[in-house]
Amino acid sequence: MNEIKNHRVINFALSFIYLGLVSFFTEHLPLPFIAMLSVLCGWNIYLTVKQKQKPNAWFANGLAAIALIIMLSSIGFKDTVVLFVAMLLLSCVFKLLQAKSKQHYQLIITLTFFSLSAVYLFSQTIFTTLVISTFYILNFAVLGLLESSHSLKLSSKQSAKIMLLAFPLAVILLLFLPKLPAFWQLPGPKMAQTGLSEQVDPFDIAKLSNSDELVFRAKFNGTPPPTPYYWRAIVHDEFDGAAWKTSSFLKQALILPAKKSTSENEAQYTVIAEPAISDWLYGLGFSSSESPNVIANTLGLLRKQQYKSKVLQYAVNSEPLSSTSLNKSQQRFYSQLTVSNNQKSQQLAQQLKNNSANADEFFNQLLSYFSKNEFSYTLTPTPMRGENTLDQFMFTNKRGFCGHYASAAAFIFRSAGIPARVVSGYLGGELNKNSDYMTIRQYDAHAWVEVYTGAGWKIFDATAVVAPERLNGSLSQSTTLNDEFKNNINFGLVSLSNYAAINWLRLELENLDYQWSSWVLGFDKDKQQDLFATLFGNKFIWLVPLGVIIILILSFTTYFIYLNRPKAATKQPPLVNEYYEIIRWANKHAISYPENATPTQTLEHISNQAPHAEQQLTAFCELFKQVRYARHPFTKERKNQAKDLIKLIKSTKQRNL
Amino acid sequence: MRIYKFKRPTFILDIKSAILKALLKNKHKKNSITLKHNTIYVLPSTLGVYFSVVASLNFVMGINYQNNLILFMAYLMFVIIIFALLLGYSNARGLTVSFKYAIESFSPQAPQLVWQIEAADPCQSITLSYPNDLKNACYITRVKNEAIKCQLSLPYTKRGCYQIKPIKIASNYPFGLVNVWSYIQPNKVVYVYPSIIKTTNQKHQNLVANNTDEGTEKHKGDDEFESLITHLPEMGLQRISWKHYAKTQQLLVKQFSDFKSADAQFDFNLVTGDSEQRLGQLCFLVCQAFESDINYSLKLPNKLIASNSGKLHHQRCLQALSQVGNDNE
Repeated sequence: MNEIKNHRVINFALSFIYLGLVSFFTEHLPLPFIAMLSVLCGWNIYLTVKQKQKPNAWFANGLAAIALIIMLSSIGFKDTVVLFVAMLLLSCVFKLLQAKSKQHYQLIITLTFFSLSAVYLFSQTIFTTLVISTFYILNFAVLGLLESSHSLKLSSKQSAKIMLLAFPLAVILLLFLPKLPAFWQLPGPKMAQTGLSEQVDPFDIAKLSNSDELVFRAKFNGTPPPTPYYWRAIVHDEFDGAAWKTSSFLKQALILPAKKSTSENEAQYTVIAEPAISDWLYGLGFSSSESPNVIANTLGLLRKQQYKSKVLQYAVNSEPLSSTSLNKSQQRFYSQLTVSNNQKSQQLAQQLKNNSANADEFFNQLLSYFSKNEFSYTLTPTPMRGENTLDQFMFTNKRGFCGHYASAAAFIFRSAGIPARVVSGYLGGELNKNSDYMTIRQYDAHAWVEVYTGAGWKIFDATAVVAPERLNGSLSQSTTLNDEFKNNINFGLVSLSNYAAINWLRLELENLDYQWSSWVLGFDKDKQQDLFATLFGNKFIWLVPLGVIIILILSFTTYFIYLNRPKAATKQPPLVNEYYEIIRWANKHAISYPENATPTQTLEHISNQAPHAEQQLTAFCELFKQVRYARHPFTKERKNQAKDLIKLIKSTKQRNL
Repeated sequence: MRIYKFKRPTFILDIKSAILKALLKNKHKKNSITLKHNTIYVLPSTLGVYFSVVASLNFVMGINYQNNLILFMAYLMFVIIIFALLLGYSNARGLTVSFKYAIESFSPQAPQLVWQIEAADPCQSITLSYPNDLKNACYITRVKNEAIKCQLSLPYTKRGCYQIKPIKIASNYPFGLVNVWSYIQPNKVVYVYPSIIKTTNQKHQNLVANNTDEGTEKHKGDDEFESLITHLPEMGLQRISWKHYAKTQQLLVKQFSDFKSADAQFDFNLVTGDSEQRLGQLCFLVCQAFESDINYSLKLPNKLIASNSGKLHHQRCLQALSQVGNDNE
């Protein structure tokens, strides 16, 4: 059977799936390519709806060649994973445009199972999972349609049913099959870049990140340390006149792994970081981690080793920054300035230095300078251009956000010969009261200064005096900046958090998402072992694979028996089954009766030949007549009467024997 | 999912059929078969194999990116493949395929086999196919409580007599992921008769057309008056010819007779052309004789079929014609 009966539905459903798939890649693939794929899908839908011929092979192949050129020129060869996904999508969409035979469709549908999984490389949210699961069911339904002439609805129902049956088994496999380590290293997909950057140049942006995208979540073991929480991610040590950068020297130094911390003053917590292109991770103060895939470096920063595309969960130990000390050359390194612009700021630094005896005093003087000179915090600063942007900020505008304050302060510290560096990361976070974890979002991004005052590194944050409420909690909770913040942020649930119901909904959804990240996406080897240990104890770990095999075999056998169960007999009218029971009894005792007689005639024949049961048989015959012909209702009493009569008929025979 | 079609070398086919023959023994040599555990064969189909490959790819991807969702999808696919095997088996179980009769044909038309298909439980997507001939396969979407009849054309268009090879009963249900199949091989021979060639061969034509009483046997009948005979008491009064009684005062009865045509004899040596042409002409003559309901005999190079008439005789003659030259088959 090679012809397909549901040509149009199949075409339509597959185009729809690919259109949906393409929409998931809008962030990761270049726009021209996305547009091209959408147009191809749309074209296929148009051809299907209008019942037109598919393009011939030559035309389609020519078109495919052009599409390939567009793809390679817009994507390039840098990111192999994206290239691979793009090629997969392109080939499937083109194959669909040309597909005519059953074999073609089978090829497309099998490849679609792979394309669907590829989406999970880039996004693993609950929403994505729901949509992709629906597509899985739909794809299966289409596979079923190739073989039958059902409607799509019936086919989807069957497909959903088999998926539902397979679901618990797959869950068991996922939970209990030992987690294998990666066979080989594959390049991870590059994620769209949002949030922090390696270069802090606040002056070329007029607006701070307006994204409410989740960056990471943190859950403290035991009591959380006191606020404020400065989540460090990147250290910038070099000022090029306009922006603070991470020097290549520091980048080299960052590779060195840190010594194990021994301090008792540690905060312990777990971080679940969302997938991101960057390799930095987040920690408070001087952080170290023993989790696999995480490297801690000499600056107390954490870095990813691999799996950038994955939600990464790691445990962190943090100790205060002050415990590290610098040697002479390091002090020189952190206090050098290679540029000589922003003269006014340098003069301010000299002036403050003259008034203060040591670095600590300078620190306080600069802080009070920011608080006394009418500086204000804003999310929408006036853009500043030219040579001396720091001077413009310090003496003319006096309005800015963290980046402005940090850049200026670090410059002033260095001008005074005090070792200082700009650190970017996130500040605060929103505490979810139900599950006791912090949520840190893109809009919590922050930059501050770390100053070395002889007794270790200290955090200098001008925001603390300009907008003190920013220090505790998240930006979304800050009251004075609330309006500005909400105007700034993209429309979303956060922007509607003034309404109690919506805020509740938002927090509940967030909680759900947290559980999802922590339990589904973050279910790794460690968690599996914990699960085994709690379920079976450490002694019986070896039982696990055996148990899995037994469960699988049992489930398959049950399913098999269920499939081959004797089908329930079709429901008979009242007393018919009872009548047959008497017939069987008669057959068993070799009582003959005419073959083509009515039931009452048959019963009479039987009763004539079985005089010992004649009374009961006549009674049954009466009952039969009443119920079947006189339309007396078949009540419970009559039913019981029939049962009793049959019992009596059977027993009389036995007694007489 | 066969994309590139290639022709398998014949020796592979031979080996395959030899293995099949050895494995199947005589389990399937019946006129009716009800599929059950020892007569159903289940394996993943080509699509099923591709599906498993994609499942494995998903597994590898899931492991390498330590991605639980992809891993889950891979497991789901593996479970479904096994479910499909079970479903496929259960679908075919209890299906009864019975051979009813064969419709024999004149070359170049193909003969057909008529089957009756019943199922205890509903059964979906059944295909009956003859070896190496998927084109003419007979496809049944669904068998429910009622029996379904279907006709399967055989790939024989040349004159001859053919032993029926094992016929494959297959199903791709569900999703086409598995191949569930069985065989049935009725012990039956089908004939393809020679293609009919119209002939005007005078000798035979005369025999067929000749209805004169010259040299022909007379039967008692009612077509033609033959003679008067004396009435006997058991003949009944209604048969008396009262006209003759009025003239002669004798009780006489009219006797009628039919002119039965002479027996035609169709002889291989009396028609012209090569042997196929001769057989075609004989075929034409035999059919014409059958339609005119006359007695005929058939003389073939190594066979003589005595004079007779009727459907069975007609069939016997045609079968003899199809067997000329390949009696070994």
